[in-house]
Amino acid sequence: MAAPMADEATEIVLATARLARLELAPERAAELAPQFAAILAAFGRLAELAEGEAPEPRADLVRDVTREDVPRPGLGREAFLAAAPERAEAHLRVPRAVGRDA
Amino acid sequence: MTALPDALALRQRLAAGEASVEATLARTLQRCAAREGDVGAFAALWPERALERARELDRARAAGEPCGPLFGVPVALKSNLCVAGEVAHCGSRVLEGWRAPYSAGAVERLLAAGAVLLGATHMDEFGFGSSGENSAFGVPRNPWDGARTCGGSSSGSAAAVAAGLVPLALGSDTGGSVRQPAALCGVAGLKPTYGRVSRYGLVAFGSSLDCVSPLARSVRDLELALSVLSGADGRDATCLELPPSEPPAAAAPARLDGLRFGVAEAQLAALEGDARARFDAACAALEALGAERRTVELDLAEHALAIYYVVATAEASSNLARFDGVRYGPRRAGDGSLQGMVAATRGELFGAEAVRRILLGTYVLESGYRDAWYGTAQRARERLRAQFARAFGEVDVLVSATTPGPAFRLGERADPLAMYRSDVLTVPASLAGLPALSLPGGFVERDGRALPLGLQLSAPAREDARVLRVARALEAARPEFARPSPVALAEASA
Amino acid sequence: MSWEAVIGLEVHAQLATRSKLFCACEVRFGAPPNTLVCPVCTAQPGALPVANREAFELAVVAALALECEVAPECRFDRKHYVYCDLPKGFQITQYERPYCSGGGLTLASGKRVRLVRIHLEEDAGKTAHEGPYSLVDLNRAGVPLIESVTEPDLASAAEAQEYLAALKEILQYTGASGCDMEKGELRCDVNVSVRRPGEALRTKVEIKNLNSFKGVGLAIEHEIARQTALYEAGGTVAQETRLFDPERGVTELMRGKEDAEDYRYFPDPDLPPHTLAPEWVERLRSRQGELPAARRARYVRTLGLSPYDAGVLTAERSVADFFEATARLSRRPKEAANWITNELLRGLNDPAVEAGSIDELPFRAHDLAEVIALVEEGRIDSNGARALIAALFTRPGRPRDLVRELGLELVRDASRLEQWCRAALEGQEAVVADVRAGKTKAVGALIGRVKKAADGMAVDAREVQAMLLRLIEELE
Repeated sequence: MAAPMADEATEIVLATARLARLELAPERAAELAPQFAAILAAFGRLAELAEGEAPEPRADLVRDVTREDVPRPGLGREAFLAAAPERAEAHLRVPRAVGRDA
Repeated sequence: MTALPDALALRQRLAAGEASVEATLARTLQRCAAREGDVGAFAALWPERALERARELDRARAAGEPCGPLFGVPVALKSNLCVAGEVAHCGSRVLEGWRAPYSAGAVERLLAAGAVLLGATHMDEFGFGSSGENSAFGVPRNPWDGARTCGGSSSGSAAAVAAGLVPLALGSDTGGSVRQPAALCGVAGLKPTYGRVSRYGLVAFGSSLDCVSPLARSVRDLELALSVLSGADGRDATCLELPPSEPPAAAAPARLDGLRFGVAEAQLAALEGDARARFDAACAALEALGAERRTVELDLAEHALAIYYVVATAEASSNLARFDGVRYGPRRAGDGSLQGMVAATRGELFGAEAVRRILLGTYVLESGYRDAWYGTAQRARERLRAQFARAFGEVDVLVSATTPGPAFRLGERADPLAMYRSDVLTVPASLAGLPALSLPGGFVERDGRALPLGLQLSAPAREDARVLRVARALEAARPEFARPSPVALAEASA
Repeated sequence: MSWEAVIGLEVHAQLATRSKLFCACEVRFGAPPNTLVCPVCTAQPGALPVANREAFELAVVAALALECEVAPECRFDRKHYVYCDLPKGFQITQYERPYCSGGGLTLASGKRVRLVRIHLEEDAGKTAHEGPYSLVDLNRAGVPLIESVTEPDLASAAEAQEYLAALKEILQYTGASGCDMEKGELRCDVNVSVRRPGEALRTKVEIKNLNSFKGVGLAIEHEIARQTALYEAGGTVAQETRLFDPERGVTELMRGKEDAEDYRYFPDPDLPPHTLAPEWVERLRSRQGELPAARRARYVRTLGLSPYDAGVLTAERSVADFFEATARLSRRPKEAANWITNELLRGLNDPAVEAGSIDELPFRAHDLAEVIALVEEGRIDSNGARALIAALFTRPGRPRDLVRELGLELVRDASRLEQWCRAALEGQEAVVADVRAGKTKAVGALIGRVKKAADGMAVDAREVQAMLLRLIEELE
């Protein structure tokens, strides 16, 4: 769980940005990299806690919250699509998608 | 402290018909507009909506209808709370121009109580920040010293209350985002027990940490606000099934005999020299009321910042995945493909701190790292909760300073890590879901000006009433710990 | 050189709830696009999920029918990926702690197909492609699904189809899912690999986008052939995801899936854990109802139906329910079976008939029972019954009333029958002569003339025949 070296950091920043769908110019990634590395190094102290026993589950934890299966009217099409950056009458419109990732 | 009436006093006057809601509101709107230049608290003001509402309330009262607990009280809302038909851009370009299609549970409760919604206040983008400087639309200036920040992320809400523009504002507190600006602006702020107030309609940052939180000039106003805001909501599965909390008691407790309060020595080390002295004076004030000071061990608190940032950024990166330019907000074309459009939209429109946090959060959740980072942080969080529970076995409330020092200058904390450290004293209570309150706790001087400091009180989960009671006692016993900001004084005499 | 196929199925079945899994939007196939939406399922900023209790109940009922072990508690996880019809940028599913595990079902051949697990998850919206754009409809976003994953126990396309049919039958019978593939209520991904008998498992390939039984069979057969050919040519099979093209009947590599996505699973902080208490689970066992195999056996054993008829009647629960109600009301199970298998099910297949299923017919079991009673009473014969049922498909009404209206009632008035018979006998000396000569069957030719004389009124053919024979005798 060591934090990355400053030079690997740029690669990691770019890879993470791809995963997070954040388009980052390489210069910006290079700028962010040392900050990223420094933050991870600071948080690296968490490693000291890695050996602890897992604590008992709390008795007061909220659980079992459900709702009844009763349909209710929602937003309606106009209220929903009014905010769409691009629409085609009844649908949202986006650039043609290739394939689902999952 | 109040030269201007607090929310409760204002409500009583309006409900008694001593002044009209409309006239009062018109003056409030004037004040807010006039202060946009120097304080700059508001991202949007809603004068037509507010005035129409004010007239409705006056009509209803004249017709003999009962007046709700916040009748006629103008309330400012942090711009991450949804109000149907109004902007809620969360300080981000990714939501520029977007209008919420529905209202938050907390907002519905304010309206049911007779409040008047005034407008949306500036904030650090999505809650990412402790100064207000991470906003795409405006950085509020501290009413005590315009060269200093208000703290954050509920910067505008704190500024609006501290400047005497509104008696009550809502913010959100994830790691200190209401307590810290309250302290730095010299007002009171309450982060309720996690789950006491519905999060439905609060744009999510850290789902397991976010709390809708009120700011006001008096502690009894915080009590009033909590009694209106709290209660179950079937649209939020993390909202507790607790009855709404009680309205404020008429009088503050005169004494705190038998109360044991705990101080974690490790946390004192974080304080700047004169801040430490003010803190000791506040503790002495509690003792003078009959409370007993004890030392407690909270050794995990030193890891709290790391635990917090791992958990909060992980949850934030996930909550922000919905901002993709598909269904709302602006869109950028990128390379013309769907994935390219999403990446270009997000890459261009998110601010620097948002990008940093999304990257961090994505990283700590990646398979391979997830257990080492996120898993460890969550386990450590549970152990911290257990430590708090043990500490509360020996004391009734915990007391600390809210921040290491007073408000800092604009631009002073450019290093992200330095900014994160502003939260070191507020983050532990967030992680443990405890109710925590900051009230004015004295003054220090910087650059020839008096700057306020905050005192933080916290209690076991669900003991919001206890923390409010102790705060009221201290507030009543030591009025000199608080005073109106220079701006508020000017507003009061205007 | 023989190769054997190793196949596993991942089946998504839509739970038969009225509202979505995490919000109160209605679930309804065929609604106009983007009309069944709300802040939650469109991922508006600030919206939060709350789980549908009925979805849990149906999911557990399905698990019990499939002999799974229900976990004492379960949680929801977030699975992150980016697509235009996944509004939150993550799907709420169950990764680490699904609500049940294990279980399986036995095919008619006796082959046991084991399940790994079943979990709950929400569906995504629907995307259609049009030129340079994709169009998104979020009506389906948030619909509750159970995903069941089998061990790779299936050995052929036919077996896979058999498994799918058996799974569908159980889910339908328990009421957990309607399983209508045409409405997208049942979807299937397949994992296929081949190997020589006795070998360790080789690389498997995932095939997606299968939404018909036929498609499942074709895709598997094509893929087995493709992989076998590759190996025999000395090549290797790459681990990849392929899409089935139903038009061309082939699988092809799915574009855009080059990098494996990191789903960054973690427990959804907006959804507290769920306890699945054993007593509650046991109470749900009663919701399961009688499973199809048991029902078939009962029809054969106590109602005297043939195994074939029992099979036809239990192919869908709605048909079986209709049959049992009719049998109970008419007390004539064999007749009820006959009319349903011959007339009702055939009528449903007629494109002119609007109703898509037996439940959508404009008449009910008590109406069919009345038809059977009318035949019992001798008021109509089987031709009349057939005509009556055909009429009931398009004209709702009480059978007794329609009989009168359509003139289906058998005329029993002896004097009128005699009148028609006499009319039919005129000019038929040749037939009369044949009958007198001992060829009584010849009289059959005259029955048509009697019917014509009756001019649309119904006559009992046996009675007519008896009367004709008597009259012919009297003519002596």
